[in-house]
Formats: sequence, C-alpha cells, structure tokens
Amino acid sequence: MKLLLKNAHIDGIRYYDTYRKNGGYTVAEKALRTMTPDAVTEEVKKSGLRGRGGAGFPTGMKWSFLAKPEGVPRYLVCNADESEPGTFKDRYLMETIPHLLIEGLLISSFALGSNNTYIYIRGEYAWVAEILEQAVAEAKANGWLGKNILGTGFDCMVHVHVGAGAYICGEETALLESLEGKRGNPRIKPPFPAIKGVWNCPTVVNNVETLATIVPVIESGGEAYAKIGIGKSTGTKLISACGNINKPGVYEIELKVSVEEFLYSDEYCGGIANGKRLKACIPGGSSVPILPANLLLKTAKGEQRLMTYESLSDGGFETGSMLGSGGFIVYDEDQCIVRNTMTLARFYHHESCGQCSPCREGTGWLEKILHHIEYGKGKMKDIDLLWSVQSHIEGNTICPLGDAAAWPVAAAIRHFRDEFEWHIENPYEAQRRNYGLAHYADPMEAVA
Amino acid sequence: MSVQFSEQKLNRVKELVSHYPDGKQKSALIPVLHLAQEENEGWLSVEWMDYVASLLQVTPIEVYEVATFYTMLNTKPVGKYVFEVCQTGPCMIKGSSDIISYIEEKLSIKPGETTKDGMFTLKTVECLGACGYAPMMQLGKVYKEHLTKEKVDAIIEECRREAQRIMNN
Ligand SMILES: Cc1cc2nc3c(=O)[nH]c(=O)nc-3n(C[C@H](O)[C@H](O)[C@H](O)COP(=O)(O)O)c2cc1C
Ligand code: SF4
Ligand code: FES
Repeated sequence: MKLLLKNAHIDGIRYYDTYRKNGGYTVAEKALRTMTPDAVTEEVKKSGLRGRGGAGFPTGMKWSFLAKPEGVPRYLVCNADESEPGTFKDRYLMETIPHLLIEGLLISSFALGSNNTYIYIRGEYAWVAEILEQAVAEAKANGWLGKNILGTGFDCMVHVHVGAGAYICGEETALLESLEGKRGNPRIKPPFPAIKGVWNCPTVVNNVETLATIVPVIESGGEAYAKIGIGKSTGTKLISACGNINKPGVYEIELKVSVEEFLYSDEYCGGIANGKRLKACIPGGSSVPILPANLLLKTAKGEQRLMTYESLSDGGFETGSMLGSGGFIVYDEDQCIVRNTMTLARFYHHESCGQCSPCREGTGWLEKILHHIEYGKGKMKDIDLLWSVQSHIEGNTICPLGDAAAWPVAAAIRHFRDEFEWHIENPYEAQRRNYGLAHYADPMEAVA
Repeated sequence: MSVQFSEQKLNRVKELVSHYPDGKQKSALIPVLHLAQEENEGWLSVEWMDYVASLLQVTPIEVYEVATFYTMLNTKPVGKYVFEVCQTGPCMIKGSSDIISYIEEKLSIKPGETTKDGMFTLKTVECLGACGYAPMMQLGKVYKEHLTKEKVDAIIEECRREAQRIMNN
C-alpha cells in the first residue's frame, strides 16, 4: 500500500507543475482554507501517527505539548540529518518527491503556528539540499510559501539549513545547538524543546517522513488513516532495505506486512542474494538489536513476526528488536557478526560528541576490544569485558547515543556468543576466512 | 585581512543570514563555512575562519570550536579530489574494504593521506545514507555508488582529465 510514494514513479514529479497536476497542494489548501490549526492537530492525534525518526513517539501528542506564550515565535524544525547506518529513506523521499515534504511542512507549520520552518539536512546530502531549495523556490513562486498564503493571513517560509557531517546532530537537542551555529552537543533535558527549543523558543522537531505523512493524514482524515496498519502501528512506513538481498532499495509498506513477506517477496527485498541463506538482520537501523534468522521471522512465542512497532519489539531485548528508523540490514550466511559489530562500535565511537565519559570512553573501549577479537588478538575474558563495558554505558548518559552504541554489542553477544568464542579460539582461521560461523542460517528451520 | 569573499558570495552570505531571526546570525556559521571551504581549495585556514568570524560578528574561538567538531569541515589542506569511502557495516558487507585497499594500492596512499601531487586524498568515513547502493564514496558534492574496481579506475581517470582541462584554461 502506498500513500507517500504513490506518485513517486511519475516522470517529473520532482517539479512543481507535475506535482500540482497530480493533486499536489490540494490537501494544504483544504487545511488552510477549511480547518483551524487545532483541528489539524486533532486529526493528527486521531491518526495515531508515530514519529518516523526512530523513537516512535505519537506525533499529535508531541504537537500538543508545544508551549504557546503570547508574543514569542514558535518553530517547526524538520530533521533531515538521516545518518543512522542502514537508513536512507528520507533521502529517497526528498530526492523523489520533495514537494510532498514541503506540503507537509506547510500544513504542520500552520497547525503549530510556525512562520519560519527549518529543514536541517546533513551536509553530505548536498544535491538533495539543492533539490529542496529549488522546490521551496517553486512553492514560493506559486504562492504556497511566503506572506499571506491563499489570502488566509498565514505567513510561512521554509529554510533549508545544511549541516556538516555529525551523526549526533540527528538527536533533536544537538540538532538545535547545531542550528544555532554551535557544536552538536546534546542538551540536558528538561527543558524540552517544546518549551525551550531553538533560540530559546518553543520548538517541535519531527522527522522528514513524519512531516510528509501529515499530507495523507489530513487528506483522508485521522480516523481513516488509523484504520491502516495494525493496532498502535497505524499507517504506512518507509523501509530502506540493504545488505545481502536481491533488491536493495526504499519500500513503503503497510504496518502489518510480515517480515517474511518483506524479506522474500519480489515486491520488496526479493530474497537473499546469490542463493545464500539468511543469517541475521538488523531490522530498524544500526542502533537496534540484531536478530538471528530464527528470531527474525518468528517471535520467541512462535508467532509470525510483523513489520510493526509492537511485533518487532516482542520479547524485549532478549528475543526481540525494534522498528526504529526502518533501516533494514540483512546479513547472509557468509557475514561475520564480529566484524560487523566492530564497524558499528567504530561508528559510535567516531560519532560520540564526547560530553559524557561513559559514552566517550565506553565507545572507545568497545571499538578497541572488538578490534582485538576481530584481528585474532582476543582473549576469552574479553567477551565478558565487552559485556561489562556496554552495560555501564546504558542509562548513564545525557542522550541516547550511549544506549545506541551499547545495544548492538549486547545483542551480538547475546545471540552470537559462540561466534565471538570461535574467533578467539581460531584466530588464524577467523582472519584468513574473514567471515563467521554459518550455522544459524537455515531459513527452512527458521520458517518451520 | 587578506582573504575575502567575492561580491557574489557576499550576497549569498547576506541571504543565508536573512534566514534567521535578527541577532541570530551565528546560525549561518556552518553554511558560511561551507562557502569559505569552497573558496579555499576545500579547507579552512585560520585566516578564513577569522574572516568568517568578523563577517558574522562572532569571536574567532566560536568558529574554531565549530570547525573542529564537524567531519566535513577540514582544518588542514586536502587534495583537489577527496575520496571519502564509507566503511560502516552495510557497506563493509558489500565489499568496501576491497575498494579501500584498491584505492590505497592504486594511489599509493593510506586513508588520511594525500598523493604527492596534491591531487587525491583518501578518507574513510562512516555511513553516508547510501547503504542500499553500496559500496560507495562521496566525491565533492556527489555520491559515487555501486563501486567496482573498474568504476574506481574510471573515476580517477575522470578526475585527472578534469584537472588537466582546468589547467589548460
Ligand atoms: C543519536 C541520535 C541520532 C538521531 N538521528 C536522527 C535522524 O537522523 N533523523 C531523525 O529524524 N531522528 C533522529 N533521531 C531522533 C530525534 O532525536 C527525534 O526523536 C526525532 O527527530 C523526532 O522526530 P519524530 O518524532 O518525527 O520521529 C536521533 C536520535 C538520536 C539519539
Ligand atoms: S551520550 Fe555520547 S553523544 Fe550523547 S551527549 Fe553523551 S557523550 Fe554526547
Ligand atoms: S553504511 Fe555506507 S552508506 Fe550506509
């Protein structure tokens, strides 16, 4: 089912004229002409839409927390920092159909009373920023941005703000610091951005996909939107699929498709590449726990695993994972879990802002120990040391990056401990082969 | 001060500053540093940072703090062409290590180094949001995706040809 990408295949949809010809900006018109800002927020609440940036916090509720003191400007900031390994869905949406985001920003800015709305985009996406700037200029030239939009008295301008390479700036308070022209050091909360955000003014930070989804929510109404999906996982979600699959790419799914269907059907990933068998998968971006094949397709209770917030986290961190940002990374039987975990630890170490010692030092230790094990210098007691280091990071830091660094290591040890042991016992072979143990990988066993 | 933006770039700076509320011109710092890097062969010298500080009416230390925090801002000279190859998990399992070794071999440099002729710098970087099109590298403002050894050869050739063209003009 497609709501966001339903017109993505149309030639020229990146440009205003084509977007408009295909029904673009009619939803914004409906919102601005026939609804009040509170009515828009009410529909978003009813839709059950949850933030698509990773945490899954209900969007309508977040909006209703926004403080509205008299005479103080309020801001909406769109989080387009997208740097979580495995995640490239926002990029796809912005590249393909930028006006959908602009339309969503306009409706959301109207609901929140933001006259100046910022898109904070990671610096590496330089050409995407150019596409957005062009779309903003087109929208402005056609009266959808600027002063007194549609004669309603509402003013709104969207500004594209380019970052300069720092994963941590995806964390919302670090993003606001960066938007103020500072280092991306996360702030201590409270105060929350809804009270004191950018330049000390009340601010809402939402992900690109969340804000684009406001268009179909207002188009169909909150109640109708909530009927899509299952339970508290309403609507559709973009999933960026990568790794050892036949068809890497960005797919929009209804939040009820089974993992098995997503992974094996030709509509989506098209199965494991090169006729190999499935070994493991990180279903929601590098920060969420990795799952071995058997726990990916079915929960520990033996139920079919679905691509929903609830089903993917079924079993907690012991036997489950998270939907996260929707970065679906698939590993075939040849892949080495130790090596993969080492690259992720290196990533978090590199990206730690360094404010909290458990995160700054801990991520360094994780990388170092994993490097030792991967390169044949590990000792058995290093596995327990890894476990201990990760457990001291979690929960002891200013922002969740510390947790995000700890979880992948914990999950890798939890599910693939024997592969760590094998590396330590067979340093020569582990190095020479450069891949890990393959015995998790029988899909038939996993499906049966 | 000896370094300076062109008239056209100064207008762009003015426009960038206008995106933010009055008195919040510091917000334009990162975008303006990008412009300064473009003017100065891809890196930020102290002179340029001080110039940006004076333009935005902030102290030089505020600029240094920012310039040293972000990976895209270089405070040391870099080659004309910077190959930033992603090495994170999703790219690694699609062969980024082989691509990095191939470039090392071909250009006789290690990550972090620049070729003697100042032409190429090799850098390893972390996930750039192209995991589905791995292995990949960033080259200036564009991504080069689905890399193979042949593709790397072609990219290097293309850079050399372009540099030659610029020299001849
Ligand atoms: C280390 C870290 C990195 C993050 N990176 C991103 C990101 O790149 N994009 C994003 O939308 N949210 C990211 N988030 C989540 C944001 O902090 C925030 O929750 C989100 O932008 C809220 O939008 P949503 O409610 O629409 O999901 C990150 C969080 C952390 C802790
Ligand atoms: S947890 Fe890490 S990234 Fe987050 S504030 Fe602390 S040091 Fe910085
Ligand atoms: S891991 Fe290389 S682009 Fe994401």
